[in-house]
Amino acid sequence: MVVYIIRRLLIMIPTMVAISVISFVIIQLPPGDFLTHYVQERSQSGEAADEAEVKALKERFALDKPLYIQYLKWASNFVQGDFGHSFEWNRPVRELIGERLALTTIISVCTLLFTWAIALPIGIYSAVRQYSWTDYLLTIIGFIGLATPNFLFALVLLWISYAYLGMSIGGLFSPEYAEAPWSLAKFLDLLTHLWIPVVIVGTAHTAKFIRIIRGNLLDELQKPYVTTARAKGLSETRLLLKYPVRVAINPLVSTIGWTLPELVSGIAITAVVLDLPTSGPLLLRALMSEDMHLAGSFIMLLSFLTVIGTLISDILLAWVDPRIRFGAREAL
Amino acid sequence: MHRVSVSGIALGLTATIILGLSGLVCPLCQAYNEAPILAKAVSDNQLPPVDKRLPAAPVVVKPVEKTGVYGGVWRRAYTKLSDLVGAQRILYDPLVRWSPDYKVIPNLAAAWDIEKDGRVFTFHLVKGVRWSDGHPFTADDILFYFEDILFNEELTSTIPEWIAPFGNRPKVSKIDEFTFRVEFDKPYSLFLDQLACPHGMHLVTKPKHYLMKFHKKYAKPEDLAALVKEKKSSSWVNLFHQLTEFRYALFQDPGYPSICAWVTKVPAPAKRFEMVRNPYYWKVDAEGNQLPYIDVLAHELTEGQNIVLKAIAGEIDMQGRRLGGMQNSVLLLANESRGQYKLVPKTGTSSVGVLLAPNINHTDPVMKQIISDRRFRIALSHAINREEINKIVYLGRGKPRQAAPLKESAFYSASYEKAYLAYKPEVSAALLDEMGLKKGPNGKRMRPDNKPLQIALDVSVDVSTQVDAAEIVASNLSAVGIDTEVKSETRDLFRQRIQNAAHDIAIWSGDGGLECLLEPRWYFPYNTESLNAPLYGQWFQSGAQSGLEPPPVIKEMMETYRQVVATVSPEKQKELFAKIIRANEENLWVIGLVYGPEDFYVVAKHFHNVPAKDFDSWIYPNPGPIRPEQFFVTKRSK
Repeated sequence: MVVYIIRRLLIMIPTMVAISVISFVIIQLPPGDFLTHYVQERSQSGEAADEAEVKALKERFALDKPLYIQYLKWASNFVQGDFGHSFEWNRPVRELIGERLALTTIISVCTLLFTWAIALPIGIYSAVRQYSWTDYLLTIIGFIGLATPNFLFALVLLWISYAYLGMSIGGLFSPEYAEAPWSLAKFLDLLTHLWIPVVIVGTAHTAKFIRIIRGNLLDELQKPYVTTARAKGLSETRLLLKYPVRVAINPLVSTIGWTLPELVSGIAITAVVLDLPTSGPLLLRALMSEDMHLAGSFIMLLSFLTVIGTLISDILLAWVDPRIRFGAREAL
Repeated sequence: MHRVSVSGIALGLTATIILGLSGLVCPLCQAYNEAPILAKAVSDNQLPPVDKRLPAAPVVVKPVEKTGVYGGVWRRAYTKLSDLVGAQRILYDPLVRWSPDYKVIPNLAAAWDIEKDGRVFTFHLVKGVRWSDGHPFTADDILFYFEDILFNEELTSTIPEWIAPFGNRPKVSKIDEFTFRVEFDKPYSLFLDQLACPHGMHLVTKPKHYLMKFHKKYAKPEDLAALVKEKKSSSWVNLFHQLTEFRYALFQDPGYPSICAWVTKVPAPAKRFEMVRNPYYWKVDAEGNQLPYIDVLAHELTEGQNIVLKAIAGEIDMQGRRLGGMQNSVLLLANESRGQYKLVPKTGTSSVGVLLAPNINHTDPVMKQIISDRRFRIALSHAINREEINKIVYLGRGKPRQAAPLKESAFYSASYEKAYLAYKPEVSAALLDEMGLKKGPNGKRMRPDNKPLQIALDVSVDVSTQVDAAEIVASNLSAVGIDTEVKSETRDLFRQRIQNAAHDIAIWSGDGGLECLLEPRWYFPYNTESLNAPLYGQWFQSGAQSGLEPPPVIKEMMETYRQVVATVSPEKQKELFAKIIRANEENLWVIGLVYGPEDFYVVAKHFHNVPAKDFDSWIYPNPGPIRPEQFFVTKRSK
């Protein structure tokens, strides 16, 4: 097990290097660079950028160097924990990402918990009571959740929260707490805003998970070991939770790897609509304005999350499902 | 001034008399009021008293409606750091400024003399103005900008055109602490106007006392080297640029001294970026209350499309930026009766909202020949149904016209405004036939080299009215046999194609309808923003060093413009510029479509002293000229 984890960790290194090179190149593919955007935006507001200033900026951002040198410089700093400087925000990338990643993680974890808390019981229930009217009802609700685009749902909730709950438009905090230091009041204020993105992103995932659990559980319930257990007089609840459910949630566990980054970048649309201070909108904008260091560092972190997530799900899978063993290939 | 030494039982009485007397002897000592938060800072000994902070004779601003009350927050929204151009336009306090009716009036320069036929300008600064850290603002600060920044070859490689027109670099000298002189080789009629433009702010945002330690000329080499290292910069030049970059200095560096009404407290790009009143602001209202009235100028970081929602929800107190365009206007108008706001119109100074710029610098010689033919451009103009565009795109609120100077401009020409305006597809078809662009078997016209004539309309995708108009133009042109397609592109691609003169016809707005001399790009190829001839424009700007040499008729217009700039008499200017307008009327280098309706400021009902109307232009950095320092807020009703 330990050897397995170490080996997986070592494989991560070349994977990350490959990802960083590819993303660095792709971000720079569109015409122009950040400075073209910058100069153009200034000329629109009537300020001609002086040649010397542009040159100085170019030098400051190292945009005058060839691409591979830019990459090496950024990558070597990245390894040392210096993620570079965001051109657009004129601030260290670390600060920008740090504050946003924390909020994103809070939302993601809450969403994950929300999804499982809803999806598990409903999925089990509709499998056990297959084709009952409650099954149909829950299925319909699930499909509506799956079919409603997140941005539309976001707009509706935005309107409800503004018109009926008297909350400010968008954001995770009321204006008076936006720049305030953390306090109990600020935390409570966060909670009043947090449910909206959690519900929006959660519903889509919930519906998907309900279907997966229901389908798998139906397969399991017909297996002979269930009949045997029943024949031996095991209580229905105990039987259900101890064996078939454990098998049925396999897919959930194995998708944790994708769930982590998906939650980080997947809520981007919702976050843009709801104006959440999370990582999605920041990444989107960084890509659009070719803000190299910010976009590059972001993609690296997301990739890192994916790789880590996959590892975690593999470990969890082995723990949940005794049939899976590590290093089986060597044994053969 | 008055020594109070009393004793005994008459103490209270005597003190009263002496205070009363001092009021008589020195009426100004007690005349100025200040905001409660500043009064508190004074009583806590953190600030000198108000009359020590203000100039001896502060600039007096007459409020628009009434004297305001101190305090409150002005809430706005922004989308990113570069979007703080909006805040930049509020902090508008150059040497001379635009009045609300768009004339040059004194500001930091209380007066000026113009001598030697408009060659020499002597400015007299308001005496006793202080930077926000209390240090005096003097002619030295202006000299520092000119001599140590602008004329320093390490810091500035090319002096901006508006300070040195056609290479006519001025000599700047200090007369005394509050007087300086700018001397040009040739008369420069637009100098004062240029100083009132937003770029005029550069002269008054370079505090010498603060920047000296970052400048090679003043700082000790070892100190400077240490600073460069500390700030992780590669050279002192880079560090200096970084620190004095406008938005960094004003919005990201709370320690940077400023002469503007508000100074940064919570630096951008915070979720809530806050500026607070400058305790040394040098203006008072008619009753002697130090301005600004409003305590805090707050910008909330938000996504672009949410700004209009915030405005409707009453979460914005006064803002026009990112609330313009037909879509937003319709939404704002529809919700005005229910919302907590009123809408104040701001008239655009563009001659038209949409124009066609046929590229006479086209890289394809056949296309160049076609587009350079005057008959072709006139045919285009007659082929377009402007009424339809007005009705569909502007809901009938615009006005069809050519890209001619506006009626309010001194250079208005009724005949150019109406030239070739009528929708006459038959005239258009006849002109195209006459040019030899015969129709092929499929009803589409062929070029002289027998290839099909295909025209692309390049339009930037982020201006929805222009994209909509482009669709109608394309169908109009197809109706007279010109195979036309609309190419809506992201702004980057659009700029790139146009700078390389790779487009057939570009679509843009007709900037400079009012300020024809300051923004002449649609009257002749002035710079690369003249999208109908960017390479000629480049030729003009570079002094014939790069770009493409234009034909004599265009060269003559360029020469005429040079004369206008060197002409002081307004009558003579008008006469000269009329020549340029006539050439445009005859040749129709750009095809104006429809004058766009005005955009609005959203002004909360509890927000006061905003005039009933304003202009909207980048040259006139609205709402700066309507004096944001005298805006004030009362309690919100909600």
